[in-house]
Amino acid sequence: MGADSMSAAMDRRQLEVWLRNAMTPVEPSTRFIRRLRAGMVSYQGSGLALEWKIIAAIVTLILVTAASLGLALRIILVILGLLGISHRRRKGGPTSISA
Amino acid sequence: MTGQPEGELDLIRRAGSEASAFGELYERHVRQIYNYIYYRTGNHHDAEDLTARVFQRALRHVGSFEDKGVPFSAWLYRIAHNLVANWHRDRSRRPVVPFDEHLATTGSSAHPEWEAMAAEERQMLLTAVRRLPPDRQQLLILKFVERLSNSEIGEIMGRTEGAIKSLYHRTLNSLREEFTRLDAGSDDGSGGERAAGADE
Repeated sequence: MGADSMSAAMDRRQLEVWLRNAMTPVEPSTRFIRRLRAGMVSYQGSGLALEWKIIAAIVTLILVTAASLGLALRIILVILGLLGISHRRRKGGPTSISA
Repeated sequence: MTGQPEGELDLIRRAGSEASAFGELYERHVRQIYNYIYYRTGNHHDAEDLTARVFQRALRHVGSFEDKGVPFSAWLYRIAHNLVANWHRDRSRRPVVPFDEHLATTGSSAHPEWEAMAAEERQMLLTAVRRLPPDRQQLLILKFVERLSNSEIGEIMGRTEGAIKSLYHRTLNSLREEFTRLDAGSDDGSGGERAAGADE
């Protein structure tokens, strides 16, 4: 039987048998499987750590900014208070309403 | 309603934050994806490279996976399909890569000449498969390599069982035509030798 007649005579069942024989599962190398898994675990681990580091840095920055702002406001209020007290002392005490 | 096997949905939910959960998913699906890519690309080197990329991409996006009743493997196959499509596009100017030699050397060693002929046929058949449209290649891989039923293939490919049957019928017809075309193209005197392996 020649190649042409072989092709022509090929019916569905024969084709399925050929496919079944030709398309068999292949096994990836165990080294590849292990290496890829290890790579993904370290990738996931480092990714999460980096994420948490960013979140921690942002939270710290917000807290430090709020604390600094609070401190600055308190200092300004104290300075203004001191200025007010010294100003009144220079004028000779509290002003009287009576004539 | 979920199309996930037992316990898989829980693994998927935990996979975004737990390395062990994603590792379990990886162990369950890596061989399927590797086989799919291997039969789409035709060599182990690219199959390894693309399989690695599929799982790296899956790892990045597994947190946004939504259970819509479609198996997790369908999601992985879709990623693999896109990466293989890019791979083919990048290589479109290059000739088709032949399948690795190991496929050509399986079988009995009692009759090496028969083996060689069978291997040549197998090579031609797989080349014909790789000339089919991607969805037809996927169907053949799922049916013959993964040995899945039409309904399981339908779940993965997002089609009804009837549509899969119909696609399978059309795929076999196209494959026969493609094979005949390849066979005619290579009919330069070696065809008669190959015929002996046809009754394998």
